[in-house]
Amino acid sequence: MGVLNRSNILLGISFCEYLRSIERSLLPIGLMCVLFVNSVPSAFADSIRIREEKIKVAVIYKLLKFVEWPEESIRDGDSFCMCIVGKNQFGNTLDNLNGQHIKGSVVDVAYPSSIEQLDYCHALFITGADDGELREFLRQDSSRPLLTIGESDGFIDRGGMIGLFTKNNRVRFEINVKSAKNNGLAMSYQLQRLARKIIQ
Amino acid sequence: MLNYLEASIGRKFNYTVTFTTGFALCIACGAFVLADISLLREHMARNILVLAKLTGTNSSGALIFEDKIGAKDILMNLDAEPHVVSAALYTSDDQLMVRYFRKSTFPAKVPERLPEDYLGYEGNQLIVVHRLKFDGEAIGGIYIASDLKGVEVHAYHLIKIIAIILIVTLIFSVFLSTWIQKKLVRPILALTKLVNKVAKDNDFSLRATKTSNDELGVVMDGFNVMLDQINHFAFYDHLTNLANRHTFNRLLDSSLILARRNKQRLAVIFLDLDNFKRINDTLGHGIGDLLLKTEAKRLLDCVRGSDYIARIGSEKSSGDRSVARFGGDEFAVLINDIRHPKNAGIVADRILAALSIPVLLDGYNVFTTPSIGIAIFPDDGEDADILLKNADTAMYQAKKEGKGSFRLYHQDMNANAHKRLSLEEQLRKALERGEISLHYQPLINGYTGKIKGAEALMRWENSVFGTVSPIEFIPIAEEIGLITKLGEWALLTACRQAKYWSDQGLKPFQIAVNLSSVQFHQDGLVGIIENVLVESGLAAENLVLELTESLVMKDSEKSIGALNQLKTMGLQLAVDDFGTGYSSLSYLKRFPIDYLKIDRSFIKDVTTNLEDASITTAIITLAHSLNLQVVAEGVETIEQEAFLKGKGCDKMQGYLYSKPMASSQFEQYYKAHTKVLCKLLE
Repeated sequence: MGVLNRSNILLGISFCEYLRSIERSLLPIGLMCVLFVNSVPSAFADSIRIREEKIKVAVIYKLLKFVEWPEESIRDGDSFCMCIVGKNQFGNTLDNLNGQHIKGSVVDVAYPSSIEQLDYCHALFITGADDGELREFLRQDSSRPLLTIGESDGFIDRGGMIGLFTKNNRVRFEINVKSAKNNGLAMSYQLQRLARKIIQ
Repeated sequence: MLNYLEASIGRKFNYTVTFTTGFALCIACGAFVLADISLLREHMARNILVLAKLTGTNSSGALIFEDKIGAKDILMNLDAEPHVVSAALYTSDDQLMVRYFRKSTFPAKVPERLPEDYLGYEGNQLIVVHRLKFDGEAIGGIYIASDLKGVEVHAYHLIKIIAIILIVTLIFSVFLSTWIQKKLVRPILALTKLVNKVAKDNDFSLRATKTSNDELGVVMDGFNVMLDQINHFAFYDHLTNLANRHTFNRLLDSSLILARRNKQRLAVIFLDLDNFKRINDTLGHGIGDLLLKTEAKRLLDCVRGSDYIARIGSEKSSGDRSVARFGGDEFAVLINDIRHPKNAGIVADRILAALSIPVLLDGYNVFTTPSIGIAIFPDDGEDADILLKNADTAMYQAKKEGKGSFRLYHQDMNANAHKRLSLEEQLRKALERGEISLHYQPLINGYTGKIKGAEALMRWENSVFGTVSPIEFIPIAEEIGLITKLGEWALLTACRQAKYWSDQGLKPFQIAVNLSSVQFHQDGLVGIIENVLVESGLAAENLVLELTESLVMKDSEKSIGALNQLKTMGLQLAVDDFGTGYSSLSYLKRFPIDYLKIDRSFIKDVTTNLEDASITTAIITLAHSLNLQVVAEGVETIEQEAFLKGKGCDKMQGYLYSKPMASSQFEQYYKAHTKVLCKLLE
């Protein structure tokens, strides 16, 4: 499975701990990492970012388990279409989702280029800090059950369903249950419990 | 408890039922409690599994997102289940993620690593381990441990309730069984009471009332049958099926009461079978019994057939009880309400006729006759004992006067009976008291006129009765079995006397002694006579035994044998009262006799009656031709003497010479007679 095996996810959930484990052997360097996480040379910052991305992907994968699509939209044997848009800084990481099993279907990662192509998606990850042209899209309720996940600030306030953010070196998420419901999706109460913020 | 076997049936029943019920209840309750607790434990296990599953599912988010705090929160919910002691959640690599302890049970332990799925009891805890899956993936596991206090409390309450129920039920069952046993046991107790009453009062007429058809009913039936049998045995004679003496007496008593009240006569008939003893002895007791049975049945038929049968009140025919066997060969018949004593005689006649018919028993033709005595109430007595006694006396009289007849009681009979009884008593002591003596009648030589010897005759001088002739007392002696002793005494005394006289110079002295039938036929006669001769010292030739014709002729073969033995000893034998008995002349030549004594009845008219003369002459001739000597008895006149002398009679005896005398008188007579003779010869 590569990146997304268990041990990695475990480590990934708290990359802070991961960092710390490095710190133990490289104490001074670790300290510096914590203090100068933002001022580290870009290569190092890149690796941190990649880690964060990996963690986010893992989280997304887990999140998908706690959302219910209507029956007609996912049928046995069909593939689960995971669409990615936006300034993709995740690179190959997202592709790791390919072939994973979600709710009895196989994940198929796609990179649609137009809004119309979004019809085929089950879940949509809007990467980047800015939603761009999809802002309007987010606000709309459509009959198409599409789970929107984003990582921009206030994502759920704008109608997004799940917003990922990093806080205290942890990837957290907030959810908009109302938006999900309006689009025919149901969110497990477990999400509600784990989410930082909920819009009902 | 210890006295179970000794307890009454009712109590036994109670114990048994109570014990059985208690035992069954205990088993049932025990089983119930066990089953209940077992079910409870199962239930608890299922519950905890459900709890584990629920909690686990609840925690899937926390487990997937590794949210320890969330997970802990979820486990804290287990506070709601008061029996949970500890719990833990594990991540997908079996590592312990978060644990929970109920405050009061801290520090309970949880496993460090997730064990395999498990649901069961370990020690005093219920443990469940459940591995969790979410969306087909293993996400970790949950462990919960709970205590068993729930079970304990439940069990405690359950047992408390069961115990109360048990005790209440037991008490109730005790009462119930007490009530039931009364019903069941009552007939047994009634039967027990009946048994006791029968035993105490000897009343075999009581019967048990059957109350049920079960085994107890069977016992009651059996008991009644036994009572019937006992009753029968107690009141009836087994052999003849007639009433027994006891029953008859009771009937007599009640009949007398009625007769007194109604001023009626009744008759008591007493009878026995003549010569029954002899029949029993000769033909055996089997035949004797058969005879009794036959005669009893005849008697019953005879009495029933008559018009005078006792019936008392509304009882069923007491004709069955009015004929009784008194024992041995004695029977009694009760006849109620007879108009006249002679009517009893009519019945007696019928009985006589019926019982005298010969009976064919086992090939033997048996003849017997009854002797019957009748006593009438109130003429011959007012009371049962007296009536019976008098009937018995009358029967005895009938016997005496020639068997096979009946006699109505008469006062005089009593005197006779009394006398007879007294005579018997006196006779028994007579020998001891020396009241018996021998008198001697001289025997005269027919040719020489000399005294050749004497015949010894018994005499009895009794203080009460005076002189009792042998004709009276000899038969009594024979009947009471005294004759042997008397006879022996007489023999011995006579021999001694003869020896004495011989020694005194009274020439060789022959003494003649009468031998009775009983003496002659007894075993060891020869031995006895030998002893007597030895003891007295008398030579055998000097002893003459006088035997009657009939005595000799009876059992002739045996008699000949005995006589021959006696002859061998040297004795002389004479046939007494010759000519009056059954004499068979052919025996005469076979019997080793020495003398024939002509009976006095021929001598009495020998000079006046031609026939007597002829007979006497004939006897003398016959005797002489057989080489026998002749003795004439009862010579009283000189003419008789002359006649006899003329015919050649060897010896003579009679009043002409002397009456029988006591020994001292005889001596005197002898001396005087001899002197005279000597004088004559001179």
